[in-house]
Amino acid sequence: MGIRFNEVSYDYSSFAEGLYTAIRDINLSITEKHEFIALVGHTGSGKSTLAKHMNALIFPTSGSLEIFGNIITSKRNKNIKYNSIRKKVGLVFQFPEYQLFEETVEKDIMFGPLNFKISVEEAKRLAKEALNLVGLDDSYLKRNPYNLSGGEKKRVSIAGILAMDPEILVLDEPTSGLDPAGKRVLMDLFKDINQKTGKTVVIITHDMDLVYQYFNRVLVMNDSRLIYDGNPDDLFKRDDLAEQHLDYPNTIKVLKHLNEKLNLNMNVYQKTNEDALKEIERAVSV
Amino acid sequence: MKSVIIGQYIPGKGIFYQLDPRTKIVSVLFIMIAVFMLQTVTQLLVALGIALIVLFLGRISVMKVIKGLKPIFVLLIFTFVFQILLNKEGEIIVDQEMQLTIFSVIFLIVAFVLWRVAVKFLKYRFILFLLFVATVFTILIFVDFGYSIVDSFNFRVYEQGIRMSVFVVIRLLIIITLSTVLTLTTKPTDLTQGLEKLMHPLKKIGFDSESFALIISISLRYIPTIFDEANKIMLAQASRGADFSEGKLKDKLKQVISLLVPMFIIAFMRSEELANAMESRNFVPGEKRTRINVLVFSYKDILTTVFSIIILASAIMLRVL
Amino acid sequence: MSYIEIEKLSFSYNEKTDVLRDVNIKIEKGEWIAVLGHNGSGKSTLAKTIVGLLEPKAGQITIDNIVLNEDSAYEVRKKVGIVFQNPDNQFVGVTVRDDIAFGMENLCIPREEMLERIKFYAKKVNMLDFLDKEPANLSGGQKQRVAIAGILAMRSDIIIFDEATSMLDPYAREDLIDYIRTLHKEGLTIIMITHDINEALMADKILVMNKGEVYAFEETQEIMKKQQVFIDSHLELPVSLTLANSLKDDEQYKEVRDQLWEYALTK
Repeated sequence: MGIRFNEVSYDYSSFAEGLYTAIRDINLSITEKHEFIALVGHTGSGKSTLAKHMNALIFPTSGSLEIFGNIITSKRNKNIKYNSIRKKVGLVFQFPEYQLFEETVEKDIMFGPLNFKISVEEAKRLAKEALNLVGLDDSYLKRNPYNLSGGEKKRVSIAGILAMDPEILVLDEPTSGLDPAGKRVLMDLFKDINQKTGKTVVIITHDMDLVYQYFNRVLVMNDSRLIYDGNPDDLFKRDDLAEQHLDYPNTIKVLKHLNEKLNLNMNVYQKTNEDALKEIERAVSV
Repeated sequence: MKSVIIGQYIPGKGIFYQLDPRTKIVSVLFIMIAVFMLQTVTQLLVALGIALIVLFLGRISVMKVIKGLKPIFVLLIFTFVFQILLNKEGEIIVDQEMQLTIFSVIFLIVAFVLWRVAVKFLKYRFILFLLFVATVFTILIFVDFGYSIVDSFNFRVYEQGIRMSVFVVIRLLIIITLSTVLTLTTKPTDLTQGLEKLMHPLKKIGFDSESFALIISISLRYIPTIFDEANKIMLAQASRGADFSEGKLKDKLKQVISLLVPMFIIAFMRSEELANAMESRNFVPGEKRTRINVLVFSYKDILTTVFSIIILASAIMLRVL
Repeated sequence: MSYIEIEKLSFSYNEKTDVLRDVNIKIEKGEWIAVLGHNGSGKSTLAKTIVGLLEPKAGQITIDNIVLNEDSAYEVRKKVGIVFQNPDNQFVGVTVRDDIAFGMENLCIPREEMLERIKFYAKKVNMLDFLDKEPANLSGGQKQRVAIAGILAMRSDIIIFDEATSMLDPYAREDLIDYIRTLHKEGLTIIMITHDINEALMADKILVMNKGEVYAFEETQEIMKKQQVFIDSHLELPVSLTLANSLKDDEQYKEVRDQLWEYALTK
């Protein structure tokens, strides 16, 4: 079960670039429980395209994709209810402005559940729950989504998908535009959901610090290919990340700089500021 | 996808690409009026011939023009049939007795089903349609056994019917060809500027042609952006279960609202930000401005304008004399 | 008198809450000021009042000895340009050439002069090969550069960047900051509104806004040492400076601290 990509490629034609291959020969397996995966890559590497395949918003040009037992190929299959796949795999896009449209936050969060034929009372309950889950209290229910701040809009859009109770959650840059405290609140929330309910969570991000601190599996896209699928710790031990258009987490970069300039021999692989501080103190007192 | 949609401008060579947009607009206008003045089919056929020669001279690909005609093809057929069936003046050209019996009905239903099935599997929809129409006629004419549902009737085509339908169709053809050539060979921005300059005299009655043209060109510039956004919004809502293809009417309404509301809100935010940007760059509506893009009038334009005036004058004379 | 003087500036959208309250700032010619602050601290409003897009409730703004008011706004806008956050919502022209020309057209610059300036400034922002391209075929970073070219072509020497990098991907962001650095070297006065501390570190001075007021306005190096300023403003220092500030003030850590500062300021 879960999601399995089998030699999936996706081409599209754009006026600007002609025929363009967004993702190429992707082989990937995501189980439906317990996984906490980061999806990284430079702009244009194909991350978003990959994500849109996961809930059957777009179909592969070649290869096949299995989502909870449904086989998705380039041809539309009349026997598959593609819409129900979108309830199982919830995809949250990056910009809330493309999603929020109702008069109240409550109604907007209810939109998803109602589309999946959940009763109005149940949808209301799910909406309230999802709203609280993203850290907003009940006073937000009757407010107009467009009167909220950027960060609040972001959370409401995430609540809109959480309310659908998907089994796999895919989020495109959920923390971008938030201040550092806000980022941590959301990341802790996703980790919490993952650990308490066992749902698999896939997060697209540019923030290598978050990747290093929160994830145990990272997928790296580069120029339409999946070039790495493994542990972030091992990824960041490599020397060649710049060639893959990737950056290192800040703690590693800073400690590497100190090692080089001051001729120290610190273990640069520290995940938090506190650990890095301890390592510096240790190295200096020697 | 992007800018190819608007007016279907396709870059190319030939005289039509070298003319000032004002010339083209004015000439097309004059020629259209001339075409409306013609009264006989012969005159129209001559006009159509001239149009084809002119297209050839201008090195416009006839195929491209025919492609531009595709959308209104159905309209042309409809107009043709409409005139033929309803015009009852003049001599009777075709007089065919037809009957409708129980067997005719059965055959008609069978033919209909065969047609729909064939359309699903084969590609040649138009040819199949023609075959179906021919079959219907054959059935109505030749199946005369069995209980008659209605009294036998006569299918008649009158002289004026044919004349009128040909007349109207050729007129439509010429006019649409003209406008297709116009949009094919003129960039939307040039067209806007041409209109702007032509509407300049309207300033005297208070119509600000410059601001109007600016509004049009800004709208044109945002069309690809808006398409993109609509697409993104649909994907975001589809992720929440909005199914833009299936669903009952009531659901569809909600779907459409979930697409339109964000589009409108984004459009409002955009207009405010754009107004700020324009104002901060010293834009003041109504004030004099220099222009980076200028239209250049050449001898070719004068010749073309004279040519179209001659055509219009000839048409008027033909009508009056 | 300073090049830009903002005295007792206050602004509110309705009568109830002040978005800006009693703001006093002096900016010298050629300075690069970064404006930091949490969402809603009044940064963007400040930017818009400086170019006269918003009218203050109280106070006065003077730019190069011109007092900003309804009549002088036109003159002031010749000197100050503003690059907004959304690259798409400030691109007016149908092509790059048309967009760079837009400001000059408004100033009634003759056509031959416009053509020359377009070539010159397009080259400066590395968009000379793109003059006929339409915005739909440009990236966010490219559109922002076109906006800069348009402002430079108007011969403005003060540029305000209102969160101009926040909608760009990390690479485009770095490119734009590098570009701003070049402009600064050439003597332009720069006011850069951002919520990214790493960007702010490049500036000469940092202005921290908090709930509509000026919370701090000092040389970059001085402000970065004051951890509390950032905590109060819900901002987070970059890792290097957090470490630098957390190390004990002992002699043994001096070298480490210096290196951490060097890293922060030159990265």
